[in-house]
Amino acid sequence: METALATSGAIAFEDAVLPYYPGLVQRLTLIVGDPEEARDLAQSTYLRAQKGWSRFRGGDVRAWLYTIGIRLALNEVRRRRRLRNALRPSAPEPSALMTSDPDLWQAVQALERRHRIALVLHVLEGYSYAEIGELLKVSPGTVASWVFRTKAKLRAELGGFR
Amino acid sequence: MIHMDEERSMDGYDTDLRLRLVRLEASLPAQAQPETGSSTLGRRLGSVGLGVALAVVLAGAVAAAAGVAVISGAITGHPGLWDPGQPLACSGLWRMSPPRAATWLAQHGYTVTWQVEARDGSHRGTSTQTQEPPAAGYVKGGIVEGTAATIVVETGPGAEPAMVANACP
Repeated sequence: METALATSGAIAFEDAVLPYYPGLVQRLTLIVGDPEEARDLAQSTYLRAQKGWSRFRGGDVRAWLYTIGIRLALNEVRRRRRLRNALRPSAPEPSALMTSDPDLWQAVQALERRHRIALVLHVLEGYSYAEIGELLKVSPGTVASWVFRTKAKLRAELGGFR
Repeated sequence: MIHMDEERSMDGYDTDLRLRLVRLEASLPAQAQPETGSSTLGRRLGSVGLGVALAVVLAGAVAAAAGVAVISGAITGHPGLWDPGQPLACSGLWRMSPPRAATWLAQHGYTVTWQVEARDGSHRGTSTQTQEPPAAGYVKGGIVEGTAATIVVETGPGAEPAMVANACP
């Protein structure tokens, strides 16, 4: 019985999480700018989600998964600071990646990673400043300032959108 | 001065930025699933890059908070396009072939622009927009504003449509 339940749980986890995995890799690529690093982070996210699945109380699996990934991306920045980039090569130039919108890609990758995360969470996910602040461990006012200045910077560099 | 009660308002600029970011993100390289498939946790850990594995170890307790933050319900965010209550919930469009998806969308009154992300098997590819659904590939994302939908399709090696069960009743 225990084995059957465990198997059932594993199937439920994969059914729930795997549909979001491709999007997770893309989201992490947008945030970290490096497809290889994004895939590593996504893999770690998957592992962490698998480990925490029994504690997941339902709700938005996608948001849960993406938030774990963003946490890991933030931790990766902190780790890199500590190890001074000794263990990994630096990310490739953003222009090395083919995207649908090279100008926006370059502009977004030029942002500080925390500002990029705040922008993505606010504009793409609709997170409130308070929610983003909780995630990034800064005040809602700081997030509001980042988002405001980031959008103004993008508007100045790229002009109007469309 | 930024007023907090303005934070959720989406003006035309925000909407355009969002649309452009959605398109950009959809054009980035994806990966269908974790590289090692459904093996055990230990074996999977063995395939994780050294850098990230170290990050997990070094950041241990901090990273563990990720799950907690969400499990507590503090972080909600917007649901995805396919989630309950969203315009394309229960549509079954995710991973559907573009022609089938076009039929469904037309039946439901959507005017569709198809963004085709053509991969060449590596990280590189092309991104084009068309009013006609591509014959091959699968639906991987999109954005809906009213009855206007931009549906992102991936084509190329391995980009095969699939029948995906959804959680809808």
